[in-house]
Amino acid sequence: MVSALPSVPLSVGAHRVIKGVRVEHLCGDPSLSPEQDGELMLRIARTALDAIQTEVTDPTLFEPAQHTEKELTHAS
Amino acid sequence: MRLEVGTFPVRDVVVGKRMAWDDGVLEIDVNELLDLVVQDPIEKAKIEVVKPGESARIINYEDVLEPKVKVSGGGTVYPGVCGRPTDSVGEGRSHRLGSVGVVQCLDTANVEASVADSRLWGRGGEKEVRVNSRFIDMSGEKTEIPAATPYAQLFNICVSVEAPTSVAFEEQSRAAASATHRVADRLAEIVKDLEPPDVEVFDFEPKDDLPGVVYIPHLASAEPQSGARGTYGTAVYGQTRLSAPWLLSPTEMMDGAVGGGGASWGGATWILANHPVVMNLAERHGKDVNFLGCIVQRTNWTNQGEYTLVADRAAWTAKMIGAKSAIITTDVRGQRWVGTMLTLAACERSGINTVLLTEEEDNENGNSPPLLFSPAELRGTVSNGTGDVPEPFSPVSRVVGTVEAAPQEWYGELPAVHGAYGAGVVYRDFYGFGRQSYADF
Repeated sequence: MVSALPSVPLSVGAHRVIKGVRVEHLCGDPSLSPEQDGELMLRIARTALDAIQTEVTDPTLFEPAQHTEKELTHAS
Repeated sequence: MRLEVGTFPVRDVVVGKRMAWDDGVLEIDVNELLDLVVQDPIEKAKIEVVKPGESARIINYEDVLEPKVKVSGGGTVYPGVCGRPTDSVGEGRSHRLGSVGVVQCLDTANVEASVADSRLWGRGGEKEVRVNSRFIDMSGEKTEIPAATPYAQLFNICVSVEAPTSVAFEEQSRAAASATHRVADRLAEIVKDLEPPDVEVFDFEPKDDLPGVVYIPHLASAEPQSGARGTYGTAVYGQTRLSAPWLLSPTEMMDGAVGGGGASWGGATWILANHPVVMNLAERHGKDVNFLGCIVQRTNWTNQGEYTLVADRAAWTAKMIGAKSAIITTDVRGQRWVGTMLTLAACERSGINTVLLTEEEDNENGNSPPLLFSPAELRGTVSNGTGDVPEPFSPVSRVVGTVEAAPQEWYGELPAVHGAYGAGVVYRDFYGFGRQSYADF
């Protein structure tokens, strides 16, 4: 499950939780260029694909790698 | 901080030719008040009085104000809202009219809106999307269950404004709020220079030998809806934006520094200025607790990193001012709830004992947990019940809150309210006004 607030799915026992970007735009970031936005979306999707092939015993958080500085700044 | 609050109790409101308070009877000149309301961009309005116990229903309400005024100590009550000065309040003396509500009703019968607009601003021509369908019933058995709203016990002076379609949605609400403030100000002016029969003194001189307590209310910010420049919605000194936590004196809360207008989660200015948690801790300050202040936390952040940041800020602020314990509340469910729980967890990790005061979710006949999300750190919760009103609301002979005659459907019996989300159409008891706790069942 991709979530902007991973605490919630982890607390209810979701096996694999992927950290998304924001509540309003979970798998992308409209403040990025279309190319960067597309790359970000792919990174999240690939993380999800990797996660689903990973054996887990407890609720586990997967963080997409290589966040740019921009993604970590509040945009609104 | 030291604040004297002079209360002028009101046992009746009469419509007459002058503005006066005499031995508990408030006389109002409706024409004078209407002149204050009908100012650009508002063209049509109506003022009506409803009394506790009357067979009346107030609809279209967006907020309720208590008439109050600063007598000394600087600042203006309800600072920062609708262009009012932002100077600090909470010191000196304030006068208030007890048991009076000035109700802001926005009549949107003429407004055409898309479903999206209706959801954002709680109005519109899409009648099936009646976000703002809350109502106040003044009579009947339901007033005995304050789930049905604490406002039923007030003399309500209802300011019904026809939404001015010459301006955008947010401006319509803001215009109605400004007009309602002008009415509340004029009413409070009546008692500004009189000697109040009752004066309470709130002195928050630190009592370091007693355990330090803070109150941390979580208030949803309208910023995701209205943007950074928005000015309407639950506010601290008029500021509606997402921001770091605000440390306020309880006396600032009493002077209306924190208020909430708005269809979907607001309507709480009277409640926040008469806050059960604040007033109760204030009463106990110096007796068995050292009430250190209120840390107002905003919610509606957009990801976990932001929520974690402000949660830690609130916990650190509490710790740095010497808090040993905290009472925590929220005001909207969903992701706002997650933010509230993250503050609670951060406080517990900082060694601050926390108690959560909240309305419960509908447990769906035992199939669902009472809280949306509970971190491991949650240890103590006080429940205000689910807000469930099991019997229908009786028909009424009068409906107030519109400029022209109200739609006939509002006069009839209204269905029972089931569960916490359903209770939003009436009143959500986040703060313990009601008596609908387990002790009553």
